[in-house]
Amino acid sequence: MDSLIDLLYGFGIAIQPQNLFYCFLGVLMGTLVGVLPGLGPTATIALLLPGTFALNPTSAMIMLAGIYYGAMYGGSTTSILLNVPGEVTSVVTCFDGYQMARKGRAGPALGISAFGSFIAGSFSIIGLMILAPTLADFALKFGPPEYFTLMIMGLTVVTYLARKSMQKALIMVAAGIVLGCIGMDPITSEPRFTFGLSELYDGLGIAPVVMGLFGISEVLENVGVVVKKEVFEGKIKGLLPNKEDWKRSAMPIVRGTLLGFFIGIIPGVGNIIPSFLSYGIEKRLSRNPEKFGTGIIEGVASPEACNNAAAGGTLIPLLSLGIPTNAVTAVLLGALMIFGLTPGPLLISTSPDLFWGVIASMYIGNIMLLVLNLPLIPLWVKILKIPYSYLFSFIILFCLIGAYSLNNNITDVIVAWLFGIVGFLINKFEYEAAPMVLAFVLGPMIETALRRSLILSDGSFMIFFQRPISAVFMYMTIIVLVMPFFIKKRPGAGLASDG
Amino acid sequence: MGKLDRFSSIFWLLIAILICFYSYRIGIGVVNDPGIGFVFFYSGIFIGIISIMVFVRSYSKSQASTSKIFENVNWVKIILVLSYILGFALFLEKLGFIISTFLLIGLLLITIESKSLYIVILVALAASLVSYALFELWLHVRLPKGILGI
Repeated sequence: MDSLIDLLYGFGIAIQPQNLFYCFLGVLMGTLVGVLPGLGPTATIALLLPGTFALNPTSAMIMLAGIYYGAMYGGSTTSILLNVPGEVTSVVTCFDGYQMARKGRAGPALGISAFGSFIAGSFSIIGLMILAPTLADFALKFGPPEYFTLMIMGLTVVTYLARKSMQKALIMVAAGIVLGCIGMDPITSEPRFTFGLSELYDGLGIAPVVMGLFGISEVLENVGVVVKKEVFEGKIKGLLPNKEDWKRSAMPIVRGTLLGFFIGIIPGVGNIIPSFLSYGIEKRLSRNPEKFGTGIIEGVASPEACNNAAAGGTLIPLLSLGIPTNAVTAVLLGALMIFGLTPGPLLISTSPDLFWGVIASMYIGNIMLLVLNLPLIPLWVKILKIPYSYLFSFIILFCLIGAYSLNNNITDVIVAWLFGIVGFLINKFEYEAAPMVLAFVLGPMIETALRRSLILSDGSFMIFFQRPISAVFMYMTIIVLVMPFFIKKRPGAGLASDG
Repeated sequence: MGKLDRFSSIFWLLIAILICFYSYRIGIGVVNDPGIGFVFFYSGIFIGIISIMVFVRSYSKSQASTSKIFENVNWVKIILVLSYILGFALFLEKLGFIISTFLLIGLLLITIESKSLYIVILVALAASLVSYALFELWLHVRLPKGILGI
């Protein structure tokens, strides 16, 4: 009952004209970056972050959250029409979505993808509304050892689910922690690894780092590569799935939603793995598994529902514990901190406007997406025909403006430039940027929690095993670390890149 | 065989040594009173151990050779794009936002995919003015004025 009253309060905030406008802008931008291959929600949120400084935190978070879940909607469009996933979470949608388009069924594929996303998105908002405050209450019992072990467990899961080598992902995590801790010591305020540069006293900014790693590096990766775009040319008709389509899609949507939401909550899992899992499960449950990959609607409905539900799920640890679970939520955490808010269990009680306003705006945003997306598909198709030279030039420009405007400082532009090179080389040498970004954001929190825990225990690492909650996290971390010795193929191995 | 991993693991090992050396100098403290270099030092140790593991594993792994991984890379274009970005960063405050952006977009368009000069000038001008209006006038981001004074 309390949640309903709080939600009504949130709607009072979300329907304010300016918040409705920023929600609309967020979902529109999200869909656009979802549609465009190359620029993901992580880089988009980072590069729009400075533009939100003039807004109040609630309006800003409404817009940034809209970009996140909007991108999940938009990602399927290119998967279905081009066989190129706009978002990594939509890779699976290519398998059957593009085949459906080739058979002249692009309309129902896009339709079921939008409806499935809507149903899953709505479910995950309800779940978020119920679970986040409960988890936040539980997290009040957390001390430094619990936070430290939870973050370490999250990072370990990220490395276990890495697409390439787990060892390389571990290096990325440790490097991310080092980069995140650059700046003044949180306890003694002494500068560390600043090399005499006063601009580094506050540490490296999340926005320039992310813009470099995901924005500039993506352009460098594609510069000079001739991309032949085969945009779907036929007329897209019959966007509304028929009765048979609904019958075949209903259970996959339900299963995808539940799977995505609950797996999305687990720190480190994010929303890429669940969509692959849901496809695999549908294939296994199907009476005709051999038809998967040939253009059947179940292969579109389930993963699309799953990635949208997972997006909602990943927001739960962020809003209730202050712990990001993937690169996008890591940037959202950075945004919360820039706005002067303290992410963690007290966020819901100290900033109810923000929490309930964002939740209510997500209901509205989901409806906006459903109403907007289907009629706008022809527009997205036209946008896909924009030459990459324009697109890349504007991505670079926005990254540079975003980096500069954060502190009106050239150093941040140079940091973005440097991390652009780093991101490019990371890709070439088959490392991954996403674990590094997550560790970069968690680094300072890990350091503080570890040092406080060790001071509390008088230097005994046993504190992490003696307290029940942290012991659970610690044992899970150990299990995840030893799992590769027993399981031949890790779940994330070989999947496409994040960003 | 595994040449890429060998290169990268040696690089990370060197980075690890540097991190450990520097953090030791600033003070790692003791376990019951960790110093300011504590987390850096143990992160460095961790990177070092894992990079040795990657190095050892590289000998049992078949991997595309370095030249193959980089064979589709247009280095000239990449270096040019990186130079433009660095130039933008270095001259932004002197030239101002509008001129710097005009030059950046113009050069990027010419480099990434040769366009006619007329289109390049038109798009670069539009991009600099629209982004100025968007960020400076609408979002109130303070952009450098430079020699134009706006």
